Amino acid sequence: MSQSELRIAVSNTGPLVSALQCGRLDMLRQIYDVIHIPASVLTELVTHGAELEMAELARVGFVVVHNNLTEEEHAIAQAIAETIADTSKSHSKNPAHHLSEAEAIALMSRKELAAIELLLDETAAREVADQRGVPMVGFPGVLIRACRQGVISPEAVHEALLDCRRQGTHYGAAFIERIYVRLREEAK
Amino acid sequence: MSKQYAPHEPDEKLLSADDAFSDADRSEARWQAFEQERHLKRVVIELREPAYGTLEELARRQNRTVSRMVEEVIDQLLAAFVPPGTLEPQGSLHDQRVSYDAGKPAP
Repeated sequence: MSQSELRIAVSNTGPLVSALQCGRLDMLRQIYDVIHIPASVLTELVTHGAELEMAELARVGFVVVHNNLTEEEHAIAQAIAETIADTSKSHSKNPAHHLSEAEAIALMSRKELAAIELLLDETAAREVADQRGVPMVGFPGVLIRACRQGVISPEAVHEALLDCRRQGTHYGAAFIERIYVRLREEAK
Repeated sequence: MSKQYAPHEPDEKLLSADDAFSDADRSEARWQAFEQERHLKRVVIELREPAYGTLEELARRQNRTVSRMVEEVIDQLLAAFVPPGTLEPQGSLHDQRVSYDAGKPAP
């Protein structure tokens, strides 16, 4: 398969943590061929306890880590992080806390990556990515798409979101039920 | 019990259910455009367990995805059973005139 036929995305930390929490990295590998991440996202994933998992995904070429951001990209990421911190949706007003998502947004500008979309969950960062015209999808959106493609069942989506919730990711009970009910309706 | 992972930035707001479906719709449209541009067509194959689980385990051991494995198998099947030229249009069928007016002979 040539590079132009690969299904390529860039990811922030949150969607990968959610995939780990619910044990659905396999689903991500059904949906995408390659996921690019900045080194700052890898650092965060390591702090979440996913060092071995990321090392294995990098070894098989599914995850590509970029620790070579140019000075210009660093400057762009810094500006994005400051904008994210300034938005009303942002809980943390410290730009340093938003640097990884800012670097992921900056990485989407690299034409040679040929990334189709950015995996991003936090609404504050999404607002800024949207202003910059970056196409994106959150982890629940990936689950929904996988379900519609028959990769996983509505029940598996339900269980995956509950698994994330049990481990502290803030998917509300009503949010999970709405997604499950609608997917079951669509499946009829 | 499976391995547990701490949540990422639990204080930051996440999407609503409606946003998640809009997200999925937009993502699907993006990938359909991608497939169209690269002349790719998607097929959905439903497999009963344990067939899918076996394939998944095999793919995992070979560091590949199930979809990539199925794609390779289909490529090999086409190479083996559909030699070049087999599916060329049949002249006798294409040359026959067809009547679209029920009961009347073809012009």
